[in-house]
Amino acid sequence: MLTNRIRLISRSTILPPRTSLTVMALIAQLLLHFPAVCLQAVMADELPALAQQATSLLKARCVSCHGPDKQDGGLRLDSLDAARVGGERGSAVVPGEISQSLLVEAILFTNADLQMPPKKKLSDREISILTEWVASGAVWQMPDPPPGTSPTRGSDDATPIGDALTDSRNPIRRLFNGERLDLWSLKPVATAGGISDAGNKSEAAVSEASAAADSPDQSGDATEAATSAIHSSQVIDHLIRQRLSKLKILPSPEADRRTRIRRLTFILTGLPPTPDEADAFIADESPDAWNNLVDRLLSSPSYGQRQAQLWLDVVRYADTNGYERDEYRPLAWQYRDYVIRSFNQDKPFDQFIREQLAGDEMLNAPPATEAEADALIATGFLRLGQWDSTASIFQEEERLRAEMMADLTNTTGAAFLGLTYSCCQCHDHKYDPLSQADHYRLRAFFAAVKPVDDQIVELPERLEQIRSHNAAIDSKIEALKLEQTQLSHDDDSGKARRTELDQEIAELESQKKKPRIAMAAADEGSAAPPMHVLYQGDFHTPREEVSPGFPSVLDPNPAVVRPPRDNSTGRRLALADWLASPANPWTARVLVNRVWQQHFGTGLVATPNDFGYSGARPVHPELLDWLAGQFISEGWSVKKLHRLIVTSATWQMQSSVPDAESSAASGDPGNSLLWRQNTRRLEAESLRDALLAVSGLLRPYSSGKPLWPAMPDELLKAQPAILEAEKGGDDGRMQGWYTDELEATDVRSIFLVRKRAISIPFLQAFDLPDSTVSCARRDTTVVAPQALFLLNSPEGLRFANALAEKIRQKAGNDPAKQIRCLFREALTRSPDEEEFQLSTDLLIRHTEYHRQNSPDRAHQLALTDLCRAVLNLNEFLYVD
Amino acid sequence: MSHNRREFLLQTGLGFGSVALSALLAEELRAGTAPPRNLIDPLQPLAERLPHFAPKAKRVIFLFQYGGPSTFDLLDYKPELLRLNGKAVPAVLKQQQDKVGGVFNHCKDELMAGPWKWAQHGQSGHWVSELLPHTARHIDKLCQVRSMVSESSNHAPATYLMNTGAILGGKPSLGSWLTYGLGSINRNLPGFVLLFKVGGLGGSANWSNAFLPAAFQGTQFRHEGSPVLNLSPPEGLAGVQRSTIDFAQSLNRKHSMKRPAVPDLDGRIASYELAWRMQSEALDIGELTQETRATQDEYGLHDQNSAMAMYGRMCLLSRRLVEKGVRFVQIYNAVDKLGWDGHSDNTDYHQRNAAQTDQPTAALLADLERRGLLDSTLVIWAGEFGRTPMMQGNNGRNHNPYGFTIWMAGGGVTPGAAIGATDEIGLRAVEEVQSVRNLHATILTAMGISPDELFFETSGRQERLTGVAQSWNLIPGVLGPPA
Repeated sequence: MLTNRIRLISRSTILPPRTSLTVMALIAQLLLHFPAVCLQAVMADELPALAQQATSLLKARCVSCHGPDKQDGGLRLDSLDAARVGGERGSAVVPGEISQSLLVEAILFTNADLQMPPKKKLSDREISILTEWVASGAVWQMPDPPPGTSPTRGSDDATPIGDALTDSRNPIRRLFNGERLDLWSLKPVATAGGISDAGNKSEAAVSEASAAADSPDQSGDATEAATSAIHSSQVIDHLIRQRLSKLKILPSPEADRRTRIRRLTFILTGLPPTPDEADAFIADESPDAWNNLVDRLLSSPSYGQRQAQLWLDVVRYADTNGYERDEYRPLAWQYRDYVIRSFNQDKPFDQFIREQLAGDEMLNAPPATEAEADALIATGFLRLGQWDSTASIFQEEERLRAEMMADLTNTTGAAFLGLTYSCCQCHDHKYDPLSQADHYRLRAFFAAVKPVDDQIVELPERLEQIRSHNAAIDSKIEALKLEQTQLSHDDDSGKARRTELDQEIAELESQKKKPRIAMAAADEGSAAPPMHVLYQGDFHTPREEVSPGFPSVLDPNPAVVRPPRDNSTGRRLALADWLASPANPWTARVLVNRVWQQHFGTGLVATPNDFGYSGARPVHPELLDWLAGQFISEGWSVKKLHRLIVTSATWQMQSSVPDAESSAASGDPGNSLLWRQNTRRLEAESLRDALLAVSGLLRPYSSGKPLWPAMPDELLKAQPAILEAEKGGDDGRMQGWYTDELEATDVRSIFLVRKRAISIPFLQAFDLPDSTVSCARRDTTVVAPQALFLLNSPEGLRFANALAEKIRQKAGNDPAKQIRCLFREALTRSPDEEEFQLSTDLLIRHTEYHRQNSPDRAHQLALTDLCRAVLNLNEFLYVD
Repeated sequence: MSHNRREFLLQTGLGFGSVALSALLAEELRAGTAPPRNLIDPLQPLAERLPHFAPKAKRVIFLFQYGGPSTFDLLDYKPELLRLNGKAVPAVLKQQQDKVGGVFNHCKDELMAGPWKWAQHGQSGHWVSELLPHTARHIDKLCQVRSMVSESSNHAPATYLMNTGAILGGKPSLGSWLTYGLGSINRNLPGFVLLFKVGGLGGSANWSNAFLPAAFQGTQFRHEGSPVLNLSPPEGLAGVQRSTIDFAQSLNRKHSMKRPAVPDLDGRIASYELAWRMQSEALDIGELTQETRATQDEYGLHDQNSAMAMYGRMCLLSRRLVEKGVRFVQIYNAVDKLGWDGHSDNTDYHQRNAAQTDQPTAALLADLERRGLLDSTLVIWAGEFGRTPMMQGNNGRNHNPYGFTIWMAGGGVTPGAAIGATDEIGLRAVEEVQSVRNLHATILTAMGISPDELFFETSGRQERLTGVAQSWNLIPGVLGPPA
């Protein structure tokens, strides 16, 4: 029977013997990854939850091709009956029989001819859920009630309690009397339905595009990619313009190429384009010029550095502990580099989420690949909050632990779900359908977390090298020690030799190598300490115990948690899987909204960390949902999401308007409906990076320890902990400031140290956020100290000096050439006549002035003044 | 809502009641039409805003006593402690449960009296130890609260609490809240100025604007040299500074005209003019030689004790700053990491810190009074907590968040009052126990602000200095006789 079934599956393969290999591979795979499936029966009370997870997975991942709309391979997976009947290849699900269920084979990717979903393999966790579901008998989830009915189930009903919308027993429904359930973000992400018009229109666009791309030498894949890009970005334009046309607002025309390349380069890489890059793009007449530019920027390493900066805001990254001592965390930077790598690799965002929350629980053995090492480094996410190392001195560890847990809970809620879990720590949420228990249910996923400061992330091969290297040294040391024991204790030569040997041993010890370690986190064991609701949030007054759980409004039952191995609870993995699954309505929306904000200055939801009632509502709900759906179906690819947005006409519009009247006349002077792009100021890091790049000082640096720029001495001396460190009073705790050589710090700002007790003044002046809580959106304030910084600070003057020197080298001594060169380098354009005249006048005037004190360098000093003025221009700081 | 209407509301700020303002903005936010943080006119963030009701004080000078002064060695007279010197803590006082840490942490069960003599002063007859002979002369001006408690026995969290209302860093400080609520009287100077050599433990989170706009962050004024970082043009460029700015401004104006929808661009043009004016005004404030020699001596500027001379300069600068209309000035007294933190030798620490601060503090009170500024200037003297009456080591005292004294003066507070009390050895507050939150509510009220109505919406809630839960009380008797 088994052989027969497998033969059926692999009938298209040429060699029959591979059949048995396939069987073996299948079983080996299962045993390797999911021993629980075979060795451990699923507990009966977990069945309903498992059924719910499995059916919602099928719904999210399979039904679009195997359901009412499409039946690829003749298969439907939207009911148990249909799955059992199966399709052309046979039965997809045989309840209780993994090896006979084609579904399991397909999702395991063991058979090259049968791999589902085709675009991207499911996560191990998802595979595990579906496999266990089949193994446990494939119980189908209770059917959804027909729309409009409000089923009331008896309290003695033994079925698990469902979401608040459908089940009157749901605690949130009871708590808030059935109110608060119309929260927009609670609704499942709407796909396709709401944008039928857009679909029609873009289908036309697709056929046009196909016709255009219909040349024989293009590969099918490229055509498909091109048409899908056209198709998709036009949906954005359609949805935006539909709203505008209803209000009779005209969208702005496309911005010129110089504006677009500046905007794109800054948004995607945080740096300005070089003049040559701009020229090349402006001169590029190929129809793919824009797409090629987008691709080039997305594949440049600077992209990940910029994208990581934005994520570090969300997770409140810092290199130090905060509080009184604010010690340096010597390995935190590995997490920063991990984030950069992940974005540059375009790691699927769902995987990125899983790794940060539960990378350790995804592995069953020491890391064997760089990717697995990264999964461990990623758990640094759990360590990023503040930590008061002096709490133990004052017996406040318990308070500190409670604060750390609250902080982690609130950050997780804000970063991934856009939910304000901080608001239901002391009482039920004031606005949203979250109870106080929900805060502690989320907190319970972290109950067993312990810090791991020396997680080995070295790969086996290198570990072995280190081991044998050290073993060789050890044997030498052994020999020396043996010699020592044989030396006489009495005579001088013996003593001298002993000292000599001690030195040699110490020298040898110092040659030993240490494996690479990371600041990580893990569970303290397979059991977690109990989690209680805390009365008024106070850890002195624990109340009822809670199990880990997702927001009760959707699922009030304890989360199904299975230890991935015997020294971890599996709680974080369960949370990560839920966060990273399309089953919850927030994660994808929250992420696409952050990326939208990156592109337009304001998100479709203006409050990216608050998708609740007190937050803003989406301006374009259907666009938000469409983007979220697209993002999921494209494998959670952030790069594809960028491409989708920047290839839209909406993104490419001008930001400037001819006059105030036309702005007001549009009926939407605040541009919330996006009839134009938005001018925005560079963020602190981008501004500093642009100054370094334009002045030619920027040094390449793409990973490694953070660098410590020079600080005004008085600022350092004003920090008690630093003072103590400078006097050597910190016992090696590294609570000081460790200034690097000036030129070494001319690197992108993401690589500068982020110290909690003291910020780098330049960055702080330009609204660097506080790194104590998640920052969803940078402020852009306009205050006088910013002007003082750019005009008067030693940094400001240094940039101007370097730029002037660069201009002299490029343009020689001719003032006219210098002026043109300066505008080109700093602003990617030529000066107009008036600007040219003003610049010339300044050079003449200032040369005259400087002649008094520096007759030899008068002109160069004047040029420096002009450079300083240009670097202070609004045009330099703001991107159109 | 029309653009103009919003602008009007933004500029009237508190006077209109920030509730109304915030409700309108919240309405806009829910409609998805406004960015979340736009409560203040970005072009004039420090524009003066009317308070909710007639204020008793218009400005604040906060003398932060860093490290935790032992207040029963200074102002809270405890004859029983003097009597019980060397004895064990009375059993009845031992039995109480402590919420944070525990007072016996690292302490011996042995009481320790300070070596200083005490005497009664002024009409009020309050006792003052010989450590504060100058302050003693002004004892009838002070309104003491002798029953303060903190929520942490650790420096950084307790300092955060005193400055920001929360033991976790990351909340706006008192000075930020006040300038956010009221703006400043002089727009050419920062509204919230800090003076210190060594700032509070826990770093800049103590004067952070946190989620409030950056215009309300504390600006450090240096007590020597150029008063604000980067205030002066680079060396040799003073003569071309204006010409350089003019060039940038003419290009900026052209750039801004083409972008009428972006008010920040005009704001930036204005900020260069403000920076220019600030340069002359701030430099002028730093010119302490403009004061008479007598005044300089009164503040101890030329004293051999360099720590006192420094504290004196900061006190004198603070007077000059509030005189020019700065809303909130905060001084940190410490000259090193230690301040009043007398773990090892309490006697020495208190002798040194008292000698450093006493005379200039008294000079400040006298000077403000002479100039008619004291009535409208609230002076606050407070540390993050007090110290234990039990001995630590051989002559030290540990931190004590369970009972300590702070005082206020001027700004409409009841002169000569002493509110609340600690137990007979100064270990715990037992009468009129007052939280830091109550102190903050009292300060805001003195400034004409209703504590519940000074808020900022962020992360889905209305954040307040006095907490989201709105559970505070005014300290009775500070702003007039107790009800």
